[in-house]
Amino acid sequence: MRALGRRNLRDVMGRDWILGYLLLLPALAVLVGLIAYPFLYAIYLSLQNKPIGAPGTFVGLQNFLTLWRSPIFYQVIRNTLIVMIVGVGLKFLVGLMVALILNERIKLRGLWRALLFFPWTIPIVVSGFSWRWILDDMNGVLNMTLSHLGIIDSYIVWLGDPKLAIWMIVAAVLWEGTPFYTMNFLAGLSVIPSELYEAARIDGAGSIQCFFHITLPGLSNVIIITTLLSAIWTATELQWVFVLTKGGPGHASETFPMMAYSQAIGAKALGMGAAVALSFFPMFLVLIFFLTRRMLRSEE
Amino acid sequence: MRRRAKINPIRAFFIVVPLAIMLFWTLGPIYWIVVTAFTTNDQLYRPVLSLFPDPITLSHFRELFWESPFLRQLRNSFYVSTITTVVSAVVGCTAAYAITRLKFRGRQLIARFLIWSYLVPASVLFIPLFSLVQTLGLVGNTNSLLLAYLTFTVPFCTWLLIGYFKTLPVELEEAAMVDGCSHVGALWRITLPLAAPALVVTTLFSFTLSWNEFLYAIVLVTNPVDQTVTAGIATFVGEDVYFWGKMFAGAILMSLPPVILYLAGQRWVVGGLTMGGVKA
Repeated sequence: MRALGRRNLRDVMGRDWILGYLLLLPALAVLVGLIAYPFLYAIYLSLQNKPIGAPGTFVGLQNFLTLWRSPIFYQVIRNTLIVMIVGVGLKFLVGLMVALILNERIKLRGLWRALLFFPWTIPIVVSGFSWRWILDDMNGVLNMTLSHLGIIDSYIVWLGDPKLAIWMIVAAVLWEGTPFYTMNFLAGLSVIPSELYEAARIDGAGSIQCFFHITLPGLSNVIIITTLLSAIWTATELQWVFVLTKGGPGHASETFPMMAYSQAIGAKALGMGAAVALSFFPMFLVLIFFLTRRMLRSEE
Repeated sequence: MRRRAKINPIRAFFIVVPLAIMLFWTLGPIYWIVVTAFTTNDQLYRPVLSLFPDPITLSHFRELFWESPFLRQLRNSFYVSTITTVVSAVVGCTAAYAITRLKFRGRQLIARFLIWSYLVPASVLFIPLFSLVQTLGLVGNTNSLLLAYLTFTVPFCTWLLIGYFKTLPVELEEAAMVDGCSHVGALWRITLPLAAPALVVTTLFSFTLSWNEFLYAIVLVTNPVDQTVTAGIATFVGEDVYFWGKMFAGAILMSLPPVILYLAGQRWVVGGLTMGGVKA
């Protein structure tokens, strides 16, 4: 009887199911215990008024309603979209340009490549602070250089001006993120067969035609995966805003991770913090959905 | 073999000028980090533009070593990153082997769940993880970071290794198993040695991702001597008005491990990225 039961289970679960799940056990423990459970717990937290270090009280959708009625929330949405869309767009354009240049036969190509990848290797918190120091309104090198050259009369408050601050964050994002695009585009370019270009040349195609009919289509999969990944990472990265402006002046450069942080940790309101994070999650769910489909397809 | 163009001045112009601008834009801030770390405070905080340190000073490094917990934090960073890397490499290898080589129900679903969980951002997970770590009584403990970092290194390593294991021939393992090798033996003796390049990439990335991590580092650990370098360097800001020299001395030192790893593993990194297409 027992032997029969075991065999049936094996028929249902597949030949190697015992060893399979045994080998997967540690990974599943991380997935369930440290990702899935906390994620569900975040939903539970968002329905509570839960100060750090004190028991929570259930408040239903109160956190979400308060948040969605606040004008700051819409400012934060706007800022997050600016950083994500403009940041990703610029990184894409500059990254593609650099990849095309580095793909040409030029002298010292390896050196230029290593140098241009540099921002990607250093910790974001370091590059964040270097930008904050460069943009410092009193002692920053940018203001001093511009006034030395006579371009500006008085120092510009780069990070303290509500109109400028968010664009300084975009600039820093561009600086740090471009190499990731260049790297992936270079790898993508290297697998486009050169015969395609030769054939197109023989048929009389110019550089621009080659670019639009061979290079771009050849890169399409790399472009989609790189851009989607980068869009998720750019919009969810706390460090830029945390280091450069803390979301200020006022809420002029606050993005959603900064708002979640300052609610949950700064104001010690874990429930409200979770509500902020979850309010933005649907947007990422869409991106994650498309990206997962793409990545699974390109794995086949 | 690319087409051989004669040196065309227009083409050269469109390569040299953008390249020069990009080099200036990319290296400028890095140059400035280095200059600041070696410039005296007198020179840093006067309203005169000077692009070189004159005189060169090591005082910021001295202050960093002897008057701040930086060395302790450096040790904490090494501790957390090394353990995270080793654990996630082992967990990733066994999981990837199970998913690519064994036949059982649910593996496709788990593979999908893995990639999905890799993309759940830390800025969504940090609040419940903070709460969880608090319940476990680990808040403020450097070890709490190990738990948090596994949330991104394990899915990442597994995903990258799944992609690589798929490209390896199964025949060798099958031959080994015909000769009496077990599945685990085949993984250990055949698959892992063949997967060495992918293992280099995963360990390199896991280490760098953990080393550079910031959000969990500031949320889960607040006592300076228990913090890692990324969190530690951010606390310089409030302490003193004239913190920039000390900060960039620390910035240079904390950038060295990832930069060295990148330079050492450069030739694998570019290929590795197309395997998983990944960076945090």
